[in-house]
Amino acid sequence: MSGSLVGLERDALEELSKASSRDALQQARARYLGRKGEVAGLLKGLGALSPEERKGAGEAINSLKTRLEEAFDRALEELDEKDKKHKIESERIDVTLPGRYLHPGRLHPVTQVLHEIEEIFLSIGFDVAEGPEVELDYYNFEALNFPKDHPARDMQDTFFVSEEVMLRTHTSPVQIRVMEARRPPLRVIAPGTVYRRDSDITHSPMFHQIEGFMVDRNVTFAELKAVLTIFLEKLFGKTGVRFRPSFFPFVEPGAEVDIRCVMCCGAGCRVCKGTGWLEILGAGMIHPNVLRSVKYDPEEYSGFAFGMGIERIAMLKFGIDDLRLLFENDLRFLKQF
Amino acid sequence: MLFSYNWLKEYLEGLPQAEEVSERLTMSGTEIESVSKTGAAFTNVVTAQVVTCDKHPNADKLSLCQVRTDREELQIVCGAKNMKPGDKVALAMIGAELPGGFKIKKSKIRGVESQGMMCSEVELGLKDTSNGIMILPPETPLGVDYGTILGSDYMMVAGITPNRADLLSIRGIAREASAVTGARFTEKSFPVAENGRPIGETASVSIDTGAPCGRYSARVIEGVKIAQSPDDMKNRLEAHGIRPINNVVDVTNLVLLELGQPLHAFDLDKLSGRKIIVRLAKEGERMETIDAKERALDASMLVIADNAAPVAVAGVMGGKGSEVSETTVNILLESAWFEPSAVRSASRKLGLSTDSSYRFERGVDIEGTVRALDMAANLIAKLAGGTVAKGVIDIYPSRSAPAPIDFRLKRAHEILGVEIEEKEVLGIFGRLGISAKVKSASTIEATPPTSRMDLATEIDLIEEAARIFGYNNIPAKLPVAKLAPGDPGELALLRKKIKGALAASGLVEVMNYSFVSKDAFALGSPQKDGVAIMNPLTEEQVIMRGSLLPSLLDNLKYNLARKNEDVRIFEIAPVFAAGEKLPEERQMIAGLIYGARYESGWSFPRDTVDFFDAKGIVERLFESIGIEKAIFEKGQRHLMHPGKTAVVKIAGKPAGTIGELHPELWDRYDIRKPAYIFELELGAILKAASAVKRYSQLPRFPESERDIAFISGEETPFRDISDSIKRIDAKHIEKVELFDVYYGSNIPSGKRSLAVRVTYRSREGTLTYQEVEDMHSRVVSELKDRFQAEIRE
Repeated sequence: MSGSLVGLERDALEELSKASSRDALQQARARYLGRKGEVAGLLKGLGALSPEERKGAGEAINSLKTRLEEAFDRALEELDEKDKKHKIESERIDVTLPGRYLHPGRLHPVTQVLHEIEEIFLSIGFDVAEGPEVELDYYNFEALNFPKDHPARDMQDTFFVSEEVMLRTHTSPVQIRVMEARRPPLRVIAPGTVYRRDSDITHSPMFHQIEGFMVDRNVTFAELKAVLTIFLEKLFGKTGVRFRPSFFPFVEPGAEVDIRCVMCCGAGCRVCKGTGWLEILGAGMIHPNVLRSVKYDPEEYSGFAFGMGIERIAMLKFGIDDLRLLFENDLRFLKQF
Repeated sequence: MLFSYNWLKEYLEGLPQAEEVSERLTMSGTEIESVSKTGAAFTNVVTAQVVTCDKHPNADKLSLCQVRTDREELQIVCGAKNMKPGDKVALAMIGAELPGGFKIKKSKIRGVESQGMMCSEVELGLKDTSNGIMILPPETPLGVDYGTILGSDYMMVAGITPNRADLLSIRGIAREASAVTGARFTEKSFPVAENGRPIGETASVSIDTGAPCGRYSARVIEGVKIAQSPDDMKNRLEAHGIRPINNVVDVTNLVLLELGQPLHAFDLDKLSGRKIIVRLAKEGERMETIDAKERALDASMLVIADNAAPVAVAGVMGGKGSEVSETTVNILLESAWFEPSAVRSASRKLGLSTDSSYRFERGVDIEGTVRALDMAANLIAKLAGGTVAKGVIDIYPSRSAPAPIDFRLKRAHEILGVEIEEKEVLGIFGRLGISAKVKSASTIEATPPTSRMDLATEIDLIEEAARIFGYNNIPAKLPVAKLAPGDPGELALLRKKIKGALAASGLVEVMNYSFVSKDAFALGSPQKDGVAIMNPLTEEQVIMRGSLLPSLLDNLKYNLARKNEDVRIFEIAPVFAAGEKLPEERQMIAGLIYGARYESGWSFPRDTVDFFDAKGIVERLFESIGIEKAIFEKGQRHLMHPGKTAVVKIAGKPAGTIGELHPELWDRYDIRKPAYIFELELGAILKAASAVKRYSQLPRFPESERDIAFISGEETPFRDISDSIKRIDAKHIEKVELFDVYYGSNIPSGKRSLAVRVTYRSREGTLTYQEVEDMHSRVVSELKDRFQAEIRE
């Protein structure tokens, strides 16, 4: 009996030392220590022995079992260590190969700027409104204090669909439509596509604007200045802002708003034509005639309005030097944003 | 408007430097777009006199001259021939720098030393052309810096807004500059020696009743001698962009520039009956204007006529027949005020805009007609001689006096948010020539000058007060308002989400013009009435889009031509169709994919996109905005492959289409592989979209899966099969997933093999093996009975 135990142990240890893989080791272990393995067979055989013999043999088998289990555990551990060591020593990658991901698309730079501007105004309680791109003369001009046959209409070269219907030349008609539909207090911006009959390096026959206005009791020019200043600072950073008198038929007093040139910081460059300032917004107090046209009493309510071209802002923000790029839709251009 | 700083100074005392004038004008609303220094663009050029002038010993075409300044005599080699001894010239000395960085050095020309250069106008940058050396007037002193003699000036360009007609003149800008800089404005006087016969004997003027002419003033000058104007006058006109013609016409143009009053000089002897009649044109009347074009007139146009026919389109352009020519002896000068809208309408109808019509349509000062006549008569008498007839014809039926306007200090405070004191307002008005007096404790009564046609109501005066006070002196104050969140707008918000979802699917947003060519329109929407532009800029932009797809296809072609081989793009924009009062506008979402499924890379398969990539983009889009009830059915659409097109239905209604580009169109867009396009209507999506997300309980009991492969007719839509499987036991059949579609040699033609995995699960407990088997055998029989499927083992 003890002789066969010695032989079994020797065989097992020899097989163990030969097993070079985890699988082989597990197989060997199962063969000796498994439920139907050699050791289990020996234990089963104990039943055939006399009680005296059984005690000694049982102890010997159990001790063998313990020894073999420890040996297999150790061997497994060593093999794991060896594998790990091998992994660590042999595996190499070229970390400079490009990463792998599914490329997302992009939003048009004009959309990106539009969203940024919308977010700023939403954060100070302005609603977003929209209106038709093909408009009636009444909304595009008449109600905005552009009388028929007035030279102010030359400021906005118009595409006509019929005598009374045109492609809107600005987003200001939305101002009229919203004021007709609602009552003050109003804080609204109206982004949208507009059209002017003008096409060259600096003019596109189609472009985008954001119109904004606020109407309430006692709205003042001082408030217009504050709202536009914080807006411009959010959009361009703490740059200088100045207000100059100007003329738009639907506002009075009217203003043009300049920021310090973002390219040269005011030193004067090609972009700002040497002035150090960039015209960025038209604005003013809503003209009493406009308020009257929507049946608001100008003695009771006042308001300010402003408008800006999105393409121009996008060009300044992204350093784009040719307006036409925005509408050519070259993917090499669009994927840069 | 282009104007000279020096000319401005003729009216102003104590005017600051040009840069400061520019700044002050800009900050008070007269934007100065540019300031450019004119005059000498050279250094070290002095006046000199030619002493001798001989042929160059070694060159036939060159001259060798001795030229002296006040202190030395220099030897100069010269290529020109037009000078002779005694002539005064501009001599560039050694070391002189001429325009374009050209430096004069001592040099030897054909073996003879030249100690400087005699200059032409071109070499000094004074003119674009010249004939040889510039000969200076004989009285020019010697040895004087020629730059100093020329003097310097600044030409400024002002952007004049349409409301400020009064600034379309030197005098007007001078008044404004005076108000904003404090420089003292002095009116010029134009004495006229009326030494001719009474004007009544020379000509007569009448205005027809109802003709839109507020005032017609005229002077007559007899016996003028038409000639060229003197150089300084010609230079001044040229510097202001006006071509000199002759002394009389030049004077009228000079007056237009200085006073803003357009004048017209008629050859009096060419006026039939020596008579001026201001009237509306008769239908069918024609006349030839000064630009030698025949013009057809209509009954809405105001004309100046003589006894026989129209001789000018009032305020726009004179007639060829009565224009001042070299043979003119007697002239009638017209200085009138025409109704702005009448001039504007005639100018637009004739497609003819002139310096004159530009001013009339914005409004000239009705009180200034005679002043302008006087300035002109004064100058013409000096330059062209002749005798000025006694008196002025001045038909001014109803004298216009501006009405006083109440200016409430409190109202100004309410609008501006800053209080400007009464004293300051009065001061501002005074500087602007607005006569003002205190009416009551809080009201000023103000009467604007006739030149300021833009000042008609209180708000106009508030603006005047504010702009002179200085916008930058008004403090910024944030509004105090009821706290309320901004409403981003349902449609705008949805559009933003959709753009985000499409970009997440790898699509790049494009922006195309809303107007397209007729051809592109027909391609996109063949059956609809379009919205055409009456006055398009190009043939490519004549009609509003009826579909976004042709634009996207153009984008594809454009990019392929630039080697952008893989294209994934989308656009969201309205399309237009003829409507009742206004066209109908519908917002559309369109997309196009072409080329590789993944961006090219070392570790992605080079697969090409197919229909299901496009469909997947749309499905993902729907998922992102909470649309669950969208189905895709076999359909048809113009532009798309008839066998590879789906109609998208949301809640049973068509919302758009997806398909492969029709093979007929490949050549048109230079493509070699199929392109997949889709177009959906935003409005239809808006109704079904939902931002609500609800949690559904995670399953607590395990599922059982069974795979089944079967052969069925290829025309049988998969959705019909999966729907009817689910219907067998909706409560316990959780999913039917397609995991293989196979066509092959062992599959009969007209058939295909599908493989699906059916997931069974109950929410109440673990399904037993037998329960699953029972359900699955019902699935199998459904496939066999309903779809004649042959189950593959």
